[in-house]
Amino acid sequence: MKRCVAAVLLFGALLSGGGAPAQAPPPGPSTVWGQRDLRFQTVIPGLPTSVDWSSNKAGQWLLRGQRGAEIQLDFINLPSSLQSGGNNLPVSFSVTDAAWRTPGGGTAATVFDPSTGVTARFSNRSNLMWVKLGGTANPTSGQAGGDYSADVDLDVYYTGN
Amino acid sequence: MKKLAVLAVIAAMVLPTAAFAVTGTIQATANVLTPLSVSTDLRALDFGDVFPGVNKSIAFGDATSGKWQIIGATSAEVQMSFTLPLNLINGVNTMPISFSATDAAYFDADAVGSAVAFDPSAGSTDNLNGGTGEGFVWLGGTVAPAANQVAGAYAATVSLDVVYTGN
Repeated sequence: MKRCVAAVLLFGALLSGGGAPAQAPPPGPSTVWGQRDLRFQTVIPGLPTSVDWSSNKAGQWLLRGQRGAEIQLDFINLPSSLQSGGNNLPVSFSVTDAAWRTPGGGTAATVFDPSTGVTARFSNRSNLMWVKLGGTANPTSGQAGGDYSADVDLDVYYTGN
Repeated sequence: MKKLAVLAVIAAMVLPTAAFAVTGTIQATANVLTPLSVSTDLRALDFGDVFPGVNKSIAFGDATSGKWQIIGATSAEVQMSFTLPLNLINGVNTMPISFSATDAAYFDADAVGSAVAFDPSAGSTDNLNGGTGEGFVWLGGTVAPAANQVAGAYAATVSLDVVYTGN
């Protein structure tokens, strides 16, 4: 029985990987680390501002998992607006605003629709994957000034394939 | 062999599925600048009494020049452009008005003596005050009444459009 417990602990450690994330990784069989915020930076009232997924202002997650494993990526509850006190700043996401990439897959990234999610796969040569997210802020001409923000959650699970 | 079988079963049991999804959170952030506002009729460009056949000019530094106040985000760069009339109107009568290349001026405080002139036909790009977010615009011009100009009060609208450049 002791041997069984030891085996379970070892398996969990292999899937979780190492690293020193700035945010504590969530418990579970793989880790999803929110690495960088999606930053629209300065937004002018009445003027839409877009951030491409390939920009250094795009949101970014780092995933650690099992090499070769297939996973499902879902943005749950994509925000329709950012908040500042009682004010809302509308934001939207196009069908090409998200992308994922593995280090073993070269520099090419796979673009996907953040509203529908995507099935991705870890490379056989690495247990890492990056997921990036752009978007567009759509301030009204009378948009109240201030710092706006909202959470963006990325859900990840193995498909079993 | 038994040990291997047990390990395989355990591994199968801990393989995650949708029920074991893990979530990573980031924030989407934006800093919206204070919306621009431009005062209306802070001061009208007033030529006062005009004599038929005698041109009359008002410089931007004169007490009766037109004046606007802009309020926006501190230090933000703004672009200013005018919609200028060709004539002042009194019923069906018109009186020509013109603007020279130095008839407009801008400064980031209410101090016309420090203002820098610009061509109102071309507009200008400047920064709002770093502390107050204010900017001030002055406008002069010249009217050219005909020798037989019909007497009366003439007027026209002068519009100042201000937009953020994003810089």
